[in-house]
Amino acid sequence: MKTILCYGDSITYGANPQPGGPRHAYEDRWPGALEAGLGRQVRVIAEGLGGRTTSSDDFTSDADRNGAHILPTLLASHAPLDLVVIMLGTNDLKPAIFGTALMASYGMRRLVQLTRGHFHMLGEPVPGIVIVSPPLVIDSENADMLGHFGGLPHAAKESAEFAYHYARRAAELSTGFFDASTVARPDPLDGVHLDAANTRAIGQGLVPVVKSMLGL
Amino acid sequence: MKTVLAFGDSLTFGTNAATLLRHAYEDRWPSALEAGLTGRARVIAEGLGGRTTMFDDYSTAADRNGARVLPTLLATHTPLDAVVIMLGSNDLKPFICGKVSAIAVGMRRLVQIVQTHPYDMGGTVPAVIIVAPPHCGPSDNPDGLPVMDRSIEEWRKLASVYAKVAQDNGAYFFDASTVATPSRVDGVHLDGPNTRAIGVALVLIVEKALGL
Repeated sequence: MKTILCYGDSITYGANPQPGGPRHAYEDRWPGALEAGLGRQVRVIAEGLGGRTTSSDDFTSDADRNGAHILPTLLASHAPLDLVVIMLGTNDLKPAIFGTALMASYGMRRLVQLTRGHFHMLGEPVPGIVIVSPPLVIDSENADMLGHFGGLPHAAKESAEFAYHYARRAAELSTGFFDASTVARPDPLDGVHLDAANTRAIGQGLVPVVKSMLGL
Repeated sequence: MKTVLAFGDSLTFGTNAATLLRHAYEDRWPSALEAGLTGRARVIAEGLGGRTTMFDDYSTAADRNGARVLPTLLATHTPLDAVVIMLGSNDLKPFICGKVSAIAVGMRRLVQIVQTHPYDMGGTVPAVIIVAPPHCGPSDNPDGLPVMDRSIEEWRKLASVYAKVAQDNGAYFFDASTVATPSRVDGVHLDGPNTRAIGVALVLIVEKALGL
């Protein structure tokens, strides 16, 4: 049985775009949909943390949101792994963090380096990696949420550049690549998070990419 | 469906002392616990080799300080109904701590973290089950018995100290040394049947904590 680690933020966690709403059901979260789409031939481990960045600190939470800091701990906790799917970057767009998709793509590069270096160092098999470009940020009446991400003009422009920069990083680093904005759109309720159907769509969209990378 | 987080070290990860590989998924105790709960709960395993209750150990790239990482994992897996914590084996390394009096403070801190974390997305405070790890024992390891010069005598005090932490902080308690004995290969890690035994034995107490 193969094992995949899904490393992400609130979209991977399955946050509800309805303020105060419950977490999406297990089956609706994209790692769950991916596992189901692979016919349960593969075990999918979800590590999605709200507010996680690629590689920046954010001390507004008691959780450690710095994706580069915590990744080695999770790799060691879930090894051996056949594939690591990383979808991060949306939180990097916050003005207090990096603010740009280009900088987020450098953070993604660091996560790829960390993953490969971790297993090389231990002499263990190095898993494949899929870089996932996150969904766009869209207009919403939730002014707090958009403000959090630097306002609509900033967040919309930068999130539209994720795919361009992430595809270049994936080519440079020889990783797999998938653009989640081709299959999923945020809920206008908050402009950032996804409803259950759009969340599932990411997992379903990843099935052929993952199958090809795992040789299934 | 209920959700249980299993927070631990290499004994939770499932390190196989004989092969230095990981035990099969079915043999790891969180999987055995999930199987015993027969579809009524999902058990999420977070076992990291070398994890301590609250002490730094920079000898690896992973963050082994349990108190520092626990909030991140609670936020990642909430809503949770119960958290099972089996730690202490690495705290018993003399260069980390070595004394159960201080390790008890670390375990108390972990319980506090679970009980006071600001849970999001409808999460509420989960029940806590403190598990004293199986006693280390004699081994055939030529590098020192038991590994890293841990004191068997000190280890044997851990269960009674943890039982008191549990009692004082509204947590459940289980002593895994009542059901599991380490392999003679290194005196600390467990073979497949002993690893599974912990999960099997935990079923009753987790059922109680979950109100099942």
